Amino acid sequence: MQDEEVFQNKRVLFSCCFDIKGRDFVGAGEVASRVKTFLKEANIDPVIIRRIAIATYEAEINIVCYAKKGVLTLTILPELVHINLKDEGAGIPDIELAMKEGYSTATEEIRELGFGAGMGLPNIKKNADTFCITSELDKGTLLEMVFYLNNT
Amino acid sequence: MENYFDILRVDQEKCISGTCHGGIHCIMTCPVEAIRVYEGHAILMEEKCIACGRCIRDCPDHSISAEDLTLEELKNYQYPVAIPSPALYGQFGRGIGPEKILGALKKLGFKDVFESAVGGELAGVATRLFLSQYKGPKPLISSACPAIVRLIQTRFPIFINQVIPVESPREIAAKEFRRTVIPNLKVSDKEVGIFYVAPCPAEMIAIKCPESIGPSNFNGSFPITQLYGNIFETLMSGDYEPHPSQINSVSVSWAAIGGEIRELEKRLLVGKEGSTIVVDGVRNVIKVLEEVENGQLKDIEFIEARACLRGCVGGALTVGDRYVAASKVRKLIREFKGKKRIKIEEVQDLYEQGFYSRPYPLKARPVVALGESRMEALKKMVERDRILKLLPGIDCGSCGAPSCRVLAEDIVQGRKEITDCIFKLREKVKDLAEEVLKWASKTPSSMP
Repeated sequence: MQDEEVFQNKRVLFSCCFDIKGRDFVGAGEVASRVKTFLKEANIDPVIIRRIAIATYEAEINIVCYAKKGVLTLTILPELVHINLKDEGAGIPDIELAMKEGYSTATEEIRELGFGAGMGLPNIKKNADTFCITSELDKGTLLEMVFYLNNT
Repeated sequence: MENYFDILRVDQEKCISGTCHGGIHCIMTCPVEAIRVYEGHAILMEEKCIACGRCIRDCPDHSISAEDLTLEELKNYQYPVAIPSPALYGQFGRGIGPEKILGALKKLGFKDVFESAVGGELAGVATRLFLSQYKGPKPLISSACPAIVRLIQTRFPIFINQVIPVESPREIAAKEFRRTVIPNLKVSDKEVGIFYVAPCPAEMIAIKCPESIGPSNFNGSFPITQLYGNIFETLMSGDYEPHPSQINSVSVSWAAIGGEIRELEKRLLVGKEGSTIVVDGVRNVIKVLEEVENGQLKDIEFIEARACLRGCVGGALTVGDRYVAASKVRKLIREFKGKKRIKIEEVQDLYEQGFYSRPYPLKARPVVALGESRMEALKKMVERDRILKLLPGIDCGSCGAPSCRVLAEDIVQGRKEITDCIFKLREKVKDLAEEVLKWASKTPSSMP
């Protein structure tokens, strides 16, 4: 689902943007926590929230580790939660390679902090219902995830 | 006097006439935002409260307290028994060991004393047996601290099935007393009253309110603070018989943090080294559970989580310094090193019969959602954010809520109004003043 489609959709119940700073390891994970709080307040199924929390956290850490800065946009529709992350950075040269479990371009600094196991993108794909990633070298990367909600 | 859970009391007169007089101490110290100030006094929101006791500790006027019974009421039982939390051992001076403390406690009107520490050791063995057969999601979380159990029920219900299904040490101690001691007495079950001596309100409430965590084997409880004076006097008078203690290094270590995982780590039943952590303090536990929710701490298998800093010796209903008490517990651990320990084989049969297990599953009591249904919750969320943008965002507490975000939620839920914020009220006064100035500066063109 492209960005334009989502925002033209008048059934948007809630939408919010968060800035993510590259290299800010102290604040890393705060955006994922804030997204999670909104979802809990919205009374969304805790099992679905768990998957969203894991995927969002991994995506946020990727931006902190590898990009200059990024923006996470959360959009809630009656039947789904849409999260997209747009970052400014070096971009990903080979997406297929980046999706391989264990493949990582982490620096020593990043590994010392406990990140860089190479499981981020595969974890996101595993937890999201649909997942789309595009990238342009020297420009940045766009990640889109959709999580379907149960009917209640 | 306002009463919550039949245990927590708020003395409204003390709130209003004290140094705080309707201020911000309790609302700011509560780690789960469960307190509000209304008409000059504190009110507790029962559904959010986890009974950790921070408010009891931090109120400068001691307006909040916990009480259940008086010592007089022990006379209603033929055979009243005291089961003290191991935190009690850290409450008295250097020369005063467990036998003297138990003896003096008994003198207050009990026919017998049985140590909750024994329940701790049994809980530890039962936990080892459970972990050796468990193959489900991790990390697993200790069930010993009822404030943390309540935190999980209300704010992290996703982890309900990761709370160890072993009963708490105090309940195991009560059950063990019934099983091993009562049959040898010449009294019926009904005539026996079993009373817990508690370091915290959470344990008192868990005993008093079966709907919270489950039914209790106790007939009631006493805060350590209530009995401390009497025990101290008895100790000074010397008019008591010391009562033999059954503790060892393992059981007494449950009084402070690190006690529960001590044996687990030693036996390495929880896998690789470094896969167990100890977290004390509600805000710290919240932080760690948030991290687990995000998928961090993947290698952690067991969390010993305690609401009070340093564990039960730091409970809100203890007397004296928690760090000194923890030091005394460490001394007892060294002193009681050689004492007899419980062996797994001794408890295996009873474990398999479910004797050490929590009799009912934990109920989720989520409180974070803003509405009963998703649509209602989302509508309120949007409205809450709209109101939040109008508020100053400095979290001053003057409205009686701990933060602007909480006030916005209270307004959406119909509990407060926007003019409860003194800055919004001031804005309205300023607008009015500017209007008055505007008209006052106008003179009719006909005047000289």
